[in-house]
Amino acid sequence: MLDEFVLKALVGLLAKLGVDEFRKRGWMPQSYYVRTALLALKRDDLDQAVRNYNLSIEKRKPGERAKVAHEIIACAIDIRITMTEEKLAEIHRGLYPSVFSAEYWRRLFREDRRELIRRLRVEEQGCREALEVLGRLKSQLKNASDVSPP
Amino acid sequence: MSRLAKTAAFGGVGYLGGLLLERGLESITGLDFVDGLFAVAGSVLGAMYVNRDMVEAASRNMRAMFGKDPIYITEGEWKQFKSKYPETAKWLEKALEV
Repeated sequence: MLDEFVLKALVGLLAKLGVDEFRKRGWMPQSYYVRTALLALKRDDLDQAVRNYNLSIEKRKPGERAKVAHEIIACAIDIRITMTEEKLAEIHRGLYPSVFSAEYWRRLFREDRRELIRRLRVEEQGCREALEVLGRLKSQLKNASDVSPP
Repeated sequence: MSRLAKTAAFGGVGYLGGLLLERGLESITGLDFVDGLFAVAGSVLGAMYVNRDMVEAASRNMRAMFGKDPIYITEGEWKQFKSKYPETAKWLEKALEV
């Protein structure tokens, strides 16, 4: 009785491990990875979206849907880059206001000036790091679409 | 003969009604009717005929790109999207039969 149960559990476990390995190596159908990538995009998980797209063309030539998914993911990354750049520009305006602006003079007499500048610098750093990550993701996506199997 | 006349008359009335409706909608919304068609096709036909996830993802991107719902996208904006993302645009046009 116990032997039978252990055997079944072992078979189940092996099957699960096998399927996971199959999935990780890109052997599942292309549509599976494309859909997973799009679902990741819906969750705003660009990293997973890129990873799954790359897996979708790992073993197969990109089909029509994969090509469209590539553009959709690239578009989402572009949008995120634009938004981050806009945010960075806004932070810069806050950090370095023009001498002729009211903001500059208002800032000059603020007591928490240093704290404000420190906070803006932290935000600036965060934006720069985000831009780096997004750029890296985009290059990974490009590489995946260029280097496709014959 | 009278049936033929009746059919022609009703056809004419229908045509005029359609024309009035189109002009009316254009003057109320200020949109070219063809432009709105993209969005209607996107939301209704998209869900029916094509991969929903893809249509949703593309429309989310359009919304983020132009800051408005795809229903309000003008022809110029559509062309801009098309030039930047030709595969997606081609696929959408084919899938939505626009």
